[in-house]
Amino acid sequence: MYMVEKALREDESMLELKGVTIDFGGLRALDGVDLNICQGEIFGIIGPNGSGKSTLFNIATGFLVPRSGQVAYRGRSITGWKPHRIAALGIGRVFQSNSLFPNFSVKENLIRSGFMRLTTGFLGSFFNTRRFRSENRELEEKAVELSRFVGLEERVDTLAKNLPYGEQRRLEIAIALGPDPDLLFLDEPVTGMNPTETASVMELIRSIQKGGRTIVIVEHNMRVIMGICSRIAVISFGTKIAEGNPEEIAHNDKVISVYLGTRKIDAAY
Amino acid sequence: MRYKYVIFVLLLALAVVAPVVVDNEYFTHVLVLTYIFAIFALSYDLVIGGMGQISLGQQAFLGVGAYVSAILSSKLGVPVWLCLFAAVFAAGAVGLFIGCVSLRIRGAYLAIVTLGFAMILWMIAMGWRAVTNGQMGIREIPPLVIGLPFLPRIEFDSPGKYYYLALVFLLFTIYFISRLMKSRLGMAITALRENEDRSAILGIGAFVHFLSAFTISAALAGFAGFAYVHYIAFVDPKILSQYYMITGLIMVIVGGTTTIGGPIVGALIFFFLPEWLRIAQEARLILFGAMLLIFNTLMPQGIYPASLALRRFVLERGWRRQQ
Amino acid sequence: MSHAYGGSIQRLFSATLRVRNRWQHEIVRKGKVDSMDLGILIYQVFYGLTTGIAYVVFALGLTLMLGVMGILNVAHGEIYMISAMLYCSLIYYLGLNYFLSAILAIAFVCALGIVCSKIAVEPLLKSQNPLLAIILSTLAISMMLMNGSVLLWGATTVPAQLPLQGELHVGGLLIPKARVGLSGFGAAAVCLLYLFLEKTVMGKVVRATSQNRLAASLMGINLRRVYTFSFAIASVLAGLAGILIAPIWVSNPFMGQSMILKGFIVVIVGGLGNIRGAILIGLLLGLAEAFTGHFVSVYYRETMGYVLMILILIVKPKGLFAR
Repeated sequence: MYMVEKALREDESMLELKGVTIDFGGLRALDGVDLNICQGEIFGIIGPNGSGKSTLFNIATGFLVPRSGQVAYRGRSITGWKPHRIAALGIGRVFQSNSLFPNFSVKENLIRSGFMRLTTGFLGSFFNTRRFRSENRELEEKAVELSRFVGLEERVDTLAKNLPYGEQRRLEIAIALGPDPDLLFLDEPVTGMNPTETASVMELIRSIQKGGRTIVIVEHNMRVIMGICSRIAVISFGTKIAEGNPEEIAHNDKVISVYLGTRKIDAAY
Repeated sequence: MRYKYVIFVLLLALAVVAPVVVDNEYFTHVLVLTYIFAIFALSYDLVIGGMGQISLGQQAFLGVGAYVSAILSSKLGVPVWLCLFAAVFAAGAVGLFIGCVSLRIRGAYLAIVTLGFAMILWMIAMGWRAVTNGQMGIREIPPLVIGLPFLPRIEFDSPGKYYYLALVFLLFTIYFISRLMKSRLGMAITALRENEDRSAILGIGAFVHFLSAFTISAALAGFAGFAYVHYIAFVDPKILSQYYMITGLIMVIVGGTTTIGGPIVGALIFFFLPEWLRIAQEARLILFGAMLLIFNTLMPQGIYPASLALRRFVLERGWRRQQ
Repeated sequence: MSHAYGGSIQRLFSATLRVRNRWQHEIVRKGKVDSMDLGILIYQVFYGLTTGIAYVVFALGLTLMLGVMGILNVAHGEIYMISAMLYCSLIYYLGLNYFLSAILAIAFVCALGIVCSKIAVEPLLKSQNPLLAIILSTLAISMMLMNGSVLLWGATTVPAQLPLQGELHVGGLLIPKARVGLSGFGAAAVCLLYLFLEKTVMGKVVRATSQNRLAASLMGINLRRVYTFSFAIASVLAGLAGILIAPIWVSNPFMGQSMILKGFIVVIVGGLGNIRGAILIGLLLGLAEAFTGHFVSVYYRETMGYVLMILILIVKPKGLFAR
């Protein structure tokens, strides 16, 4: 079975942000943000557009360096680390857009996602050693398994750029799972999907979490957030204005005022 | 899929008998040059097609390989096959250095810096007369020799004999590059080429892998330089000039990037088309300029990949008609 | 960061001074011209600045295209060359006066530039890797233009007369009036460009596009028109640079090749798309070349630019003032 049970301590802090601050030119994008994400939970981050959510992701995954503050993964400081080193620690990510290799087939995309598992270098390829061949076979098998997990098994040889939007997003999630991350960042995974697709992605996310992974998700779709997250943080204009479980957030005055009528949205659903 | 291997064996057979069938030394000579520069074009495509980067300095490595081998073998009497290692190593080292300086920031920046390094090497070749003989170049470079104990000694000093050696070199290069692209490094650079951010998340760091590939392409170009110099038995600073850079670019772009057949087709076109059309030197360059422009705009992936796509299209059409 | 390097730069500088002093003492002892003469120093400065202004004008065109369209136009040098050749030819063969020839030459290359941009640049701006595609297409055009010019004019020079004869006497120095006039022209052109970009509406449109193409198009700016316009301005600048250089140096079909290399140096060190950087570095390059030419040897003048560029890049990989 692909989803190995994670032997991690319950309630271990997976990701901790302390006082993270960053400026873009004259604009303070994030101001002293604190976050603590625990093992095994699905943590949601919401907030109006431009409030700094994607910036947070970029800092946590190493694409941006904060002006001050620290980022720690499982107690280890990763502030200022380059993205590929952070990825090697077990952090995965799905971008808001452009998160796959468009000119490769689904299978080739997923094969590449297992890159970090390869150990044979060029010499192995040059002499076509047994280890080289077996590693490549493993990579292919895992790629097919991943495609099965997200329901893309039929489309394994289609070019990624030719997939319909919903399947592309699912492929992106599969790619992010390739390196077997313990912590997964999802940036607006259901944006632009119809209710059926949204529901299936929600199921997917839940089954990812059941495998023992921790998930941080940024979304605008309140139903999704309220539905699958165990805890939520609300960011507005670069500061965290609220944090708690869905119930607390839905009735938090500050949050409501920021969204100008969260109640109405809840009622509609 | 078996198609590929059958065609390859056919072409190989054709290549093996060609010099015997066409009993014309000039024809064989042009073919030898084609093979040697196909190696150069393949090394160039590793950077342009494989890595998706712009290097305007590949001729630097060609020149380094050529000069190092020429100097060691003719002035210092080093055995020729040892010079091979020296040439490849030196070219790779220069590639490593240039890559370290310039691969962190890419785009137009990389293009200009690689050009600059090639210029500096050219000026060194022109100016350091004690070592490189300046503009006069180095003549009387010993030919390649195979002197195994119980076999007759073979000196590769004529087009006919060098032909098979060049063919072997090319076949080795083809094997080398195809295995490289299937290896971990090949996977890494094609991923980086398609989507650098995504690759970073998958643990593929841009700089390290690009540097490795760049160094390897430099070493390969140095290999081509070695082969060239021991065939022509002469080297001068012209080998470091922009002429060879343009040669390489034309072969890669017109022939086809990111494939192995592409640069080889490009080399064939580059060497045989002017012969076929019988054009003078300056007009030749204008022709190539026009071809480069047209192909770059209309068929940017080159002739060979385009023909592959065409063949695939035709086959699919035929299949559907049968049904 | 600069503090860490400050010490080593100081030491390098004083070491260079010590070496240079030793050379100069040699020259003085051998009874040659006293090169420590202040007059000659000032002359070198003047000489460097006047050449530098031409470099600035040329590089501004290059950097403008880099900033607005994000492309590297390799044919920029050939446009400069054709302007210079045309200018000299109109004066020499047709006997037209200086002013008219200059205007005709610049108008011609402006039109030529627009044609080139329509063929080779604009269609490729939407391709997957526009920078590479356009480097290749402008390279192709530069090849065609250069070899076409060789066919047209022959591989020789076209003589040019200085538009102003005679010299000015300034504090014991003889300064050719022609240089003063030309530099004045160049400086005026740079000021005009600066004013244009800062004060006029079109100038602001160009600057906006160079900062953020997407935002500019969303604000209703017709990108295509801005591109054509920028290319036209860049061609005019290249043409003007040709007019400034033609009377001072020899005009031949190959002058574009060496000029574009200088343009690259200025643009890389000054920052891609950085106007102030281009102005400063262009002047500095002129000065550096003048000093190298006089105090070291004319031969190394060209190399100096590249060596300095590489050295600066090793210390500051993004150029001296990166955007």
